[in-house]
Amino acid sequence: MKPKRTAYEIVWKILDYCKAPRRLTNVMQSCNLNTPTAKKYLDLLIFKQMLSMNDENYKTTKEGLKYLELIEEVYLRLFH
Amino acid sequence: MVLEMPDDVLRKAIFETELLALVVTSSLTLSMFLIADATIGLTVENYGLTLTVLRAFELVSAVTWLVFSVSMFREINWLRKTHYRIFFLRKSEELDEKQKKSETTELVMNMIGFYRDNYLKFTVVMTLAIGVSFLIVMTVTFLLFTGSMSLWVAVFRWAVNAFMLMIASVLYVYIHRSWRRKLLKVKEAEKKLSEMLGGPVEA
Repeated sequence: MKPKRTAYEIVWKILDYCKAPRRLTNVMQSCNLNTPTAKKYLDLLIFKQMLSMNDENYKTTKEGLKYLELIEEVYLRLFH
Repeated sequence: MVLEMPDDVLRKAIFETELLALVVTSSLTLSMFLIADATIGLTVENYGLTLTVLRAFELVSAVTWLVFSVSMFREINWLRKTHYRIFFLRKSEELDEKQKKSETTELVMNMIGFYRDNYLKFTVVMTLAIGVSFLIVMTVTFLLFTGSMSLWVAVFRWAVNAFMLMIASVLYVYIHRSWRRKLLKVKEAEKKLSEMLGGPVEA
């Protein structure tokens, strides 16, 4: 029943969830992703320095928070 | 400027979902009414092949409209459930400001996803309904002038189909203006987001 998400919305979900350090399995469950898709997004976000990885835990960086702020502003403004 | 008013956004999103629920409920009723009208028309009326074919079109478009309305009704109810969960969590003060903002953003994303999934389907069904009802109004006028239909039957048919035409047109204009505007704004913002991610990303 959940509507389909765009890649940018999936990135938002991952970064929002990883505000606290999270493991890969938790990210997959929370964001409803399979392993290859989750790894594809996580690798991209680490490459863009929006996520950092420490002891197999992923955490959103300052760069990631900037993305969150931008996308939240766009979506919230639609109903403001 | 960073928005700090998810409460306001939440209220508006809830209002829009309730409005949609109302629209879809009337859409369900109207499509069932049309199925009944087309079925009665097909079985009772005998005004020649043209009107029979139009009645068959009316029946097909009404059934399509009903199927579409049922699926939309289920999706809207899912949206309502998520909205009320957040609304009550907010009321019971179980969410801090950051969580409130995240939950509200997710809720808005769900609504945009709903618009994205249903915009084209909705436009097609409404165009079909507008086209069929317009053709029926024209055919009834023609039958009246050729003397094949009595004035009172024609007035009844005009009233029924003009009502359908009006509702379908209002829904079409509302969806086209409101949903399309929001979807275009998101599409525009995606350019900026893709720049941050170093290029377009496919889901």
